[in-house]
Amino acid sequence: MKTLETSNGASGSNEGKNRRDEEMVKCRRYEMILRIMGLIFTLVAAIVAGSNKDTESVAISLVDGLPPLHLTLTAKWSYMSSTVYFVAVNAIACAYAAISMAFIALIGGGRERNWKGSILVVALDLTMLALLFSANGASASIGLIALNGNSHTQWHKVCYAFKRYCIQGGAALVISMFGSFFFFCIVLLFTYNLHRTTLNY
Amino acid sequence: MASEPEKVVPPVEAPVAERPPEKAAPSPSTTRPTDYFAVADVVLRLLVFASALVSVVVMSTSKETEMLPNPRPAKFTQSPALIYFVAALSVAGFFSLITTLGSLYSLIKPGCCAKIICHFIVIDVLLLGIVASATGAAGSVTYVGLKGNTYVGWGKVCTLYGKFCRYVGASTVVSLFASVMLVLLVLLSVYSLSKKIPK
Repeated sequence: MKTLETSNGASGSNEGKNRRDEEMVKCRRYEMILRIMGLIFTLVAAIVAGSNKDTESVAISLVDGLPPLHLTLTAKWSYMSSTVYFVAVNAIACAYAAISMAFIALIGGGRERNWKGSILVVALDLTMLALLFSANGASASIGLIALNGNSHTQWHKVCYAFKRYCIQGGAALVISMFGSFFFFCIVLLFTYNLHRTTLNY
Repeated sequence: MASEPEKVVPPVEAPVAERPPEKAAPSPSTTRPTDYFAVADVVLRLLVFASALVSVVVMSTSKETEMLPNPRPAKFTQSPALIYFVAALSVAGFFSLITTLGSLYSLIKPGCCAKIICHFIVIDVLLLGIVASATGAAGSVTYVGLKGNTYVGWGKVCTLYGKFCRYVGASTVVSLFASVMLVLLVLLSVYSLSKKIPK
């Protein structure tokens, strides 16, 4: 990489061109790997969060003197709007990763020649990044309320009764955070590629 | 020909349009067209800073006290998601102020720090992630407060605290606008950078 910067930048020289092509191939390979990892992680997060269902018998004491009532309650991912949003966004990001991989493999060639397509891919990448981060934030905040409760608004904690549900939801959140990190790396890689190609002028 | 000595003696009175042909070398800085990308860059960054500032201020002043048997206030400090929202947007506002000043300086003195402007893209992408996650967190808490959730027994809060909910909702919408502006900003930077690639 350093040798590219110190070369005199004459684009007619064969050696500089070969090195640039090598860097380009390496960057494209890294990008494919990152997209595949992003696809896998968001897919797993969507599946883990989407199969989150737990039926427990909860003891609710309504009046202090009487023995507690045992109710059989179900906790499902579709009961809470933020988990629905989380599953939907992860599914969309997974589908987008697959479609963008196919698109990039199809348009092929060098990025310089087909920059309209690559600008579209970058725009959608950024949108997916923002959506993924917002879904992570939403799921984390609702999970925190479910864990600790909120005494000011009289929202009681729920996770002491539905342990498996909360642990599975937390695991899906962590996996989705890894997936969004890969999407972030894709955008950074594109920026690095751009920075590298504009240096040689 | 005869008018030239007259022009040399009173140079101040000579019209400006006649000066450049007499000079040996033309000055490029006076005849360059406006760099629309740099101007749009500064404008977008100012918008991001303004919306982050507005969000933080509106969220911080959203205290409301209701006289139930005991006076019970509703503040943003009672929910960890809203505290995270204020913190994240303050960080975003601070960094967007720095990048605004940087790109303003680059607009005034063109071509001085092209590399640093390139690095601002990374800051913008980071800010996008932070602002988007803060928006999601605050938005989800506000939504549960608005609609309630019968399955877990969480009641609606907004019927009681109208002003608080309005302020928090407005703050979330403005931060959503800020994240859209950040996406446009990164796209603009990428586009203007790609224009410089030699064909």
